[in-house]
Amino acid sequence: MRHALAWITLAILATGARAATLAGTVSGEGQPLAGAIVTAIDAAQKRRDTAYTDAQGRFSLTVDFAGGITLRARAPYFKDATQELDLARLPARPLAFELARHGVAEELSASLPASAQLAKLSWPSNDSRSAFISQCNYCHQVGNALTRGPKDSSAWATTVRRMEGYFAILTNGEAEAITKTLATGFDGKPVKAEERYVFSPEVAKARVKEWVVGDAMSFIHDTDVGEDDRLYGSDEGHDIIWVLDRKSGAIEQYREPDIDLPEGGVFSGVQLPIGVFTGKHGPHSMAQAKDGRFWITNALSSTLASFDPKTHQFKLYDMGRTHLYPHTVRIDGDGIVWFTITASNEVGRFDPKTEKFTILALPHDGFWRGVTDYAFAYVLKVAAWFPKQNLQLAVSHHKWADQGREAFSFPYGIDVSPVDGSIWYAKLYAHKIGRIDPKTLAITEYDTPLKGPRRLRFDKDGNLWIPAFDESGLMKFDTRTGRFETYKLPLLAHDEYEVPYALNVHPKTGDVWITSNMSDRMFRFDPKAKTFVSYPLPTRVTWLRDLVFAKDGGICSSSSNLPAYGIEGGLASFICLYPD
Amino acid sequence: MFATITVIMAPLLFAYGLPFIGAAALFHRFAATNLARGRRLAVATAIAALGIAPAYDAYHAPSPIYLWVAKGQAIPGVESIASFVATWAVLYLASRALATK
Repeated sequence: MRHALAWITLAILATGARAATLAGTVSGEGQPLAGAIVTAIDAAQKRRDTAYTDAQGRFSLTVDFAGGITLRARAPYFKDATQELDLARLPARPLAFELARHGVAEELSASLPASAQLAKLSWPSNDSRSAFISQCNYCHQVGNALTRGPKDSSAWATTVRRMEGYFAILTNGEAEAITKTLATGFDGKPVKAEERYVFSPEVAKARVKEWVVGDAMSFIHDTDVGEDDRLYGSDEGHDIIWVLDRKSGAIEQYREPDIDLPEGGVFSGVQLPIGVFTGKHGPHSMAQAKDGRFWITNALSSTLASFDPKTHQFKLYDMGRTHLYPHTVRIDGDGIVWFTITASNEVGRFDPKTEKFTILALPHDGFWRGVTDYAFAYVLKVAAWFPKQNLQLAVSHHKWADQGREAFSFPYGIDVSPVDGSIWYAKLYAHKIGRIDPKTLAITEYDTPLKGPRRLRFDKDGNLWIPAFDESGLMKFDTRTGRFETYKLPLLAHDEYEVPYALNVHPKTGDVWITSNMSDRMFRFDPKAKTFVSYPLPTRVTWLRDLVFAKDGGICSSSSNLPAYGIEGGLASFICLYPD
Repeated sequence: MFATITVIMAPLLFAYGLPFIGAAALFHRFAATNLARGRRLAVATAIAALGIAPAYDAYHAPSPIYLWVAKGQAIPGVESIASFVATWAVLYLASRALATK
């Protein structure tokens, strides 16, 4: 065996009872495998620590938990290999993995990410493909083991209708095209993808830590990092804020106070994801103010909540129940809380000192979107007379006027300019970004060159970085010149795509970190060199939303595929990538 | 819930039914010499009901039965007849009430 000739070492550097460093090699077909993913999984399967191999196939992995572990080596086109180890009694033999190439087409196919599975779908038109990307990948991967099972048209029609109840906004024609395409394309036959994984030496330096949290029905939409460097995750389905102390691994949960609304809140007439959305508030996004309080948008109850991480007390502020689905929240330099209100096309401004809301109605972007802006709140009120019956689907003009998602604007991401304090937002379905003057509240909007602008962020120079969800792209908008630049994300194959939901700009390096979401990767974009580095993530079906930077160098998020039971292992997690 | 949906969507159903409503109005006018008032109203509202009576899709969204037929879509027979009869009854009673005012 040639791998026996490879450099092999085992180093166990005990640094107390709860840490050990494992080192070794990963090879395949006798050759060192660069960029292979080596993951230590604890006995309870609650913790996962990951390192990557370098160009020589070597890895070094420090785990900060104790006891028995499963050490797994994973590389594209090769079968996983595992070793069971006890960190207290590590063997004297070297840790060497020799991976076998997949020889069975079905096994190889099963190991490929959703992006590869989707490439086999044959769409009748670009419009139906765009609708699928925009509306089906909105909340989760499609093409993973849970979602690519062969079903006939009737079964897919039932699934698509259920998803429409979950707010996939489709015309009847789009729903029909998606139904037929999935029924035909997901036939159970193995996919023959030829993906190209490019190894970057930077990847070998990276580490990933994952902390499993919640249960199979948890939906930790967003994660923020507190001043205390803990991670705070908003479980939109269960009205819970999860708090992770990454040093001790301790996880706490705090439930939002009850409110005089039925399950589903203002959206009680809508059949929200069954078993997942069992709450009334739907905590969605959060941001921490200088006084330490987190401000949380409660998407379902049309409230803003403050959460004190010291006392663990919540306080609710009602913005009025015609303001639908408060979404992304950010805080400006004066402590004003700004947030998008997605389904009613508004931006909210809340002054914590006066506890007063100012709700800004955004431009309608056309007649049918204007109809939505005026009528949708009342439709939901009537729908609430019939809990979970989806009356809105029967009467909405996105159906009968054949408008689909074009009937909505969906203001989504929001951020504060570090240059002049202006507020900028993205409109996901109107394909626009907009600026709000924080003093005059005057609004100016710009069309984006790529579709699906989602959660945008500023860099420190005042450039606005915007993920293009619908077009596998990244946009840069220079707020001084009004000019856009666009970049295509690095795909694994020419016929695949990604759905970048969010990004963030590192405050020190200026690198733009971007979620991929269809291929279980995270991207780093260097704006100076205009190059991407792709970090393969250890867990399949990793779907990330907001990215935040921890003090210890971690780029953190929560794995929030909806539902969590679709994620490899069946549970959501907090996840941090440490690039250096 | 169907009743609520139908009330909300009534303006749209009437809009779809305009050609039939027009035909019903013409019939009502030109049949004045041949038919008694009550029968005339019954036939005219039946013509209008042909253009308005809804069938409901998988989302419970209503659209006139004639549109389903025009698109070649299958419609459930018994429900369609019930829908037509109910629509006709509503139109007839409403028209009669308006006519007596």
